[in-house]
Amino acid sequence: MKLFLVFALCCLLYSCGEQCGIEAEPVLAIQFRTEATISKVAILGSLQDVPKEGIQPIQRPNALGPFFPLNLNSDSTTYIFTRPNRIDTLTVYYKKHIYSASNTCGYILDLEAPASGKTYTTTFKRIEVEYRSYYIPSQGAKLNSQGEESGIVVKIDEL
Amino acid sequence: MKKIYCWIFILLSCSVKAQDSTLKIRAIGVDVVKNVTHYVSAADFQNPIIAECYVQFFTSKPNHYFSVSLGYADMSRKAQNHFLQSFRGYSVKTTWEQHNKNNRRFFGYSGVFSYGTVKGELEIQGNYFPDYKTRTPYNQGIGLALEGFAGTSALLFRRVETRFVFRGAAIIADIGNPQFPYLTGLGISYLPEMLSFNVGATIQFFYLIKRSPKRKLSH
Repeated sequence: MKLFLVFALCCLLYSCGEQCGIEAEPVLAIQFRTEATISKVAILGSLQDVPKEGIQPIQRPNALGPFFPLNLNSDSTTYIFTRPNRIDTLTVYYKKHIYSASNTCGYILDLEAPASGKTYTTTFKRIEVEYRSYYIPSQGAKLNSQGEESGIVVKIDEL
Repeated sequence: MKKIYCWIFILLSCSVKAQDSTLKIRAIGVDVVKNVTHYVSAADFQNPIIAECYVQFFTSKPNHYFSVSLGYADMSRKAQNHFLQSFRGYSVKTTWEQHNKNNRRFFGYSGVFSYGTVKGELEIQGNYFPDYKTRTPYNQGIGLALEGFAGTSALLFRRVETRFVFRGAAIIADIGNPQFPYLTGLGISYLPEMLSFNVGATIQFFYLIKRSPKRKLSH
């Protein structure tokens, strides 16, 4: 019985760090590599507005944030950023992918870069989009909250 | 589907070979616990319907019996909060068992063939956008298991054999996990791997075709 409990505990610990893809509404992480002030963010097709407290860029180097929801019912999401004296738009494209990730997770939902075509359209001067899997395997598990280590990341280099 | 028929054919032909050519039926029975455990256990199976029925035959050796059982299971579960799976499975089990001639204890082993299909649906609740629903690929597969068991029985009205069975099984399956941790004819598969195991206890009711003779106490 003791042996069984130890074995069960090992199995549990082994599967602890695994994140089984998208389990709740996914978010897009934005990294501002330049100073910016955002006064409002609107998302096309969104049922509610993004609260003002959550839209300001995090000004630490390499820090991710703010985070904005992605629309799973579509293959793209468009954000409208209102800044003093200017309005910018950003559309991010993605492809939904369902696959069996592991024995523990089974089928998971993930977002990937579109197989062909553009990955974004924007009025920002220079940006870069990075697609990280929402699935994190248990080996070398990293803490994952609010998409810090997984998901789509948009790096805005120049406004 | 061809696979199933092939396995059923192999199992049945093996079992028929093992028999006395007369194949006299000793009892017919049902498993009565498998449903109940799922209703009361922590396992999150929803609306389980599990049926397992047995036909037990005499063999040429006294106190040795052979049985064939057919199983059916239908249930669903929320694998994670956002993942609903519907499972349907069938099983064929062939069992050899030996009864102690002095008391009502018995032991034996079974070969189990299990087939299952799994349909899945992912549902991601949305705060900013409408909920998103999608189907996961349809999945089907088979499992094979070797089960050992031991038990004791009580006879009611010299006709109804109530069997208390403790059992354990080694499983090889390409369905069940990761798609669904259940195999018809066996129960929950404990490891999320192709090689797994299962242990448990159950109660079976066997109706004896021929009434059991009264026991005479003799020295």
